[in-house]
Amino acid sequence: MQRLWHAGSRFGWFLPDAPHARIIAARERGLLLLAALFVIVSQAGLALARAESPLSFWPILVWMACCAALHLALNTLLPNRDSAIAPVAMLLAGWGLVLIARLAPPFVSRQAVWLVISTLAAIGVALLPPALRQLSRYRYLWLLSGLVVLGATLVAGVNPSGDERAPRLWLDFGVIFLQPSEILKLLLVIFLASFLADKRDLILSTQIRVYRWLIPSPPYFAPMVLMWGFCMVMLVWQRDLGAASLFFLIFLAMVYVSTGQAGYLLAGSGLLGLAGVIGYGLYGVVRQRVDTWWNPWPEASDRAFQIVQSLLAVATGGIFGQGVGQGQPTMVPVVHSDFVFAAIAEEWGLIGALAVIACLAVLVLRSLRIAAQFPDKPFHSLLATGIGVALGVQSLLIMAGVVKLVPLTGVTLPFVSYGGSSLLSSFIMIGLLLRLSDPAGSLARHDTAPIIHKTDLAT
Amino acid sequence: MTTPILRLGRLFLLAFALVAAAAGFWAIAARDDLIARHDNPRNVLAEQQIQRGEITDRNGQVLAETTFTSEDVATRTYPHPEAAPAVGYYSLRYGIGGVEAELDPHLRGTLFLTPSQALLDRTLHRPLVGGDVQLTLDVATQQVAAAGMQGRKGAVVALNAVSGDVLALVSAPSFDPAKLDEQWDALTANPDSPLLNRATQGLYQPGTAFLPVVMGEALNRGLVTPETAWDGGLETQVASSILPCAGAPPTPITRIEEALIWGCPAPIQKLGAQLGTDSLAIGLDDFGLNAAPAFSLPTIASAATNGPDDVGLLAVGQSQLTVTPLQLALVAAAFANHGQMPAPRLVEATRPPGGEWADVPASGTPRGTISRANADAIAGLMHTAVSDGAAHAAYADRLSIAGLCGLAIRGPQQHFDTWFMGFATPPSSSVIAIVVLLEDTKNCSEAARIGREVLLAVVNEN
Repeated sequence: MQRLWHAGSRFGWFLPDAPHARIIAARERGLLLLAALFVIVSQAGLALARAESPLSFWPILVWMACCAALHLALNTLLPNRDSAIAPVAMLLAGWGLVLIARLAPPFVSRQAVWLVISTLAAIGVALLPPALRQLSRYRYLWLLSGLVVLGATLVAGVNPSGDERAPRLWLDFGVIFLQPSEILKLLLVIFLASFLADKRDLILSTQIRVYRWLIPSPPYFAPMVLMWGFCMVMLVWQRDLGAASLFFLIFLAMVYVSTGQAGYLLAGSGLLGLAGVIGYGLYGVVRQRVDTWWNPWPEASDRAFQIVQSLLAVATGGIFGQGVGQGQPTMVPVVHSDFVFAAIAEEWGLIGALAVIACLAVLVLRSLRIAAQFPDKPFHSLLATGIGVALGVQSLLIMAGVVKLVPLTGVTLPFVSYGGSSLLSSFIMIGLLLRLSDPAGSLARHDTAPIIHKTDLAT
Repeated sequence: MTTPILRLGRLFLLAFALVAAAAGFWAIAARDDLIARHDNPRNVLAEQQIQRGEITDRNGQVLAETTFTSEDVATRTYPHPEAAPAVGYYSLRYGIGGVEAELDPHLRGTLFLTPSQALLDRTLHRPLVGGDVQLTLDVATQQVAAAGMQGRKGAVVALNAVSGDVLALVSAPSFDPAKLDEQWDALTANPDSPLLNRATQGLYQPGTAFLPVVMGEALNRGLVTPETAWDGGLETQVASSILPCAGAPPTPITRIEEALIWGCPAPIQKLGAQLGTDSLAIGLDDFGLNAAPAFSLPTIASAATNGPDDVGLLAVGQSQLTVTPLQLALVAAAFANHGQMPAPRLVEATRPPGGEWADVPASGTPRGTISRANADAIAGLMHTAVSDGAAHAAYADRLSIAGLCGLAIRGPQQHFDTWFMGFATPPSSSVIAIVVLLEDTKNCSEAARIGREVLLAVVNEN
């Protein structure tokens, strides 16, 4: 197959030709082997630094089995998929396992079990029919079920740490704890993609002009805003700032992509700022996050302890890092979940931190690239966009918080942080992305023609 | 929808780049400042892994050592807290002092590492292993000196007058280096400054303890002989106070040598005026009093002896002239050692980790002062001062001790300080010189008794 970059096409750099299925499989296998090399070397370094027995490798073996299972399943189910998505996600998940073994050893077996569940879930999603009609059709059901589990958390929520004052964001199922906001995030993306795909023409055509601005007419926009407001109220009620800001930004980005009007982004950012100001006045936790972000140094041993320790970890890492198992990242409170990025910076150095940033950027760009492949299927396009935005915004929120670029919001670093619900929802998103990246699935296994011609996009 | 998707992609790229830049800022640009923060727990943790070297006295008695707790945390212990003025302290919170500070690169082990080894050790997170230090100090002598100074303010320096080896170095009040962290606030707030090393860094008026220097210089210039007659007064007016003789002569003084024996300032004040400013300045130079002695601990010297001054008052150790106890101990050593002033030495030998002991020479060089004959003449007068003079409290049957008593008026409050400077030759050792300084007292017998106890301790030791 001839591979051209279509120099004349405006999106040539963004949408190269789809390669042959065998090439895809080989490329994914190569990337997975590279990821395995990195993860194994890291685990070996950790075992050496701590003088651990070879038995400490068992989570890595589980991870490798997951890699192999995912790769083989995808070869059969989605031969024309995007070959970078699974290896990048797996690299981050494997890195996360090494980090949890390093930072919070008692949790590593639970995380390994969650990785198996998550991989199976991703394969399950890849089995869905290409039209994804069920997702689109029952959008209110999905959203409602998401809200019901969230509501259940309000009534029967717990915190796995057992701390009475800590936010109760989890549901206790005996063997596992589930964080409903992670599930709700996924369902919200599906709901918004479906709703906006259906209504965006209507929304655009019935806009009202107010002075110079076009705003959507209330009948089409109000239900969605209400739904969103409902989510926000529940989240603020639960004091889960990270999820609240994440949901809002996902909402904004998806509205922007569906309408193409940057005004929504601007207005939304203004609203977010306003919410911040109000939150600053009303909630101690918001005030603390903003104060310690703006100037942590006077309170370095008090309210700003966590962020200052995080910056010390990043500084200690320098360019090349202290080496796995050889720094002191456990000085940072809850380093294994929210602050895992600081641990990476300390032990793998700036190089490791940049690698994580690059991996997550690749995932986001690949999602958006998949989104751009469906100019005539708005649901598919918006779903891929929503997934990319959810992963990207969540990564950015926590990484930027850890390096004091924005106030801290307690969200996990996708794939890497400790947390089963987060891993599960991230892998379901990956499964959806892979599904979307190969719309024809195994039906097109022997089809060497590109699924879509870039020239279509250029028009 | 492709255009907004593309724009969103660019926005994300920008945001990821910003996070990368912020991480780079902390990891590279702000790195050193952050790592140096005093609340960086990593510094303490790294410090607690260092196998810091041992400090021992001249006989191998441990003065400071590092042991590891069951959690592998290094702790510094000081079996002989009375050696603190020389040994100093090592605190994770308040830093280092004394020999612990001056030989820190050796004790930490950084001295022995080439840059490439240091980099390798850092990369592999190998904790530092330090070298050992042996001091010239003698714990038994140090203990006697510290016990004598118990409850007083002042300093004691005892050293071998030939080799310059410091056997005892006491500054009182002192501190327990093992309890520094708990007591720091009280120590720094104490008006008597227990953390100040009076022996090496306390500047005091020498007063009449300065007489032998002026006398020696006058003898050297042939201005007088010990027998030169004197029929004047004995005391001197210093500001609004009277500087009296250190002892009470039973009969009126008739010869100038008796001024030394009884520590009387007036004859020497006149001698100083005869010598003149220039000769006296040369005398100060001869005895190294214008420069801080080179030593293993920080030392200072009075910087105010060269201006226009009352040369007579200067000659009786008043006016702007100040010295440290260590400086006067070296003056005593010069008279004890026939005019040869040794270079003071506190570090006997050092040993790299796993290596052999190597002797450490004194940091300074010995210097000649006045002629042998004149030095011996003054030394003879010092013997008389103990047998029949103001310093009789230092007299011992089994050891021939020489010494002088001196009084000085210090500061605008006109406090009296008392000096005893002397020496003795134990049967099996070379001559030992000693200086005792007591603040806020006119009782020279106390100082002389402490001096005797310390000198006898050296004899017992040998």
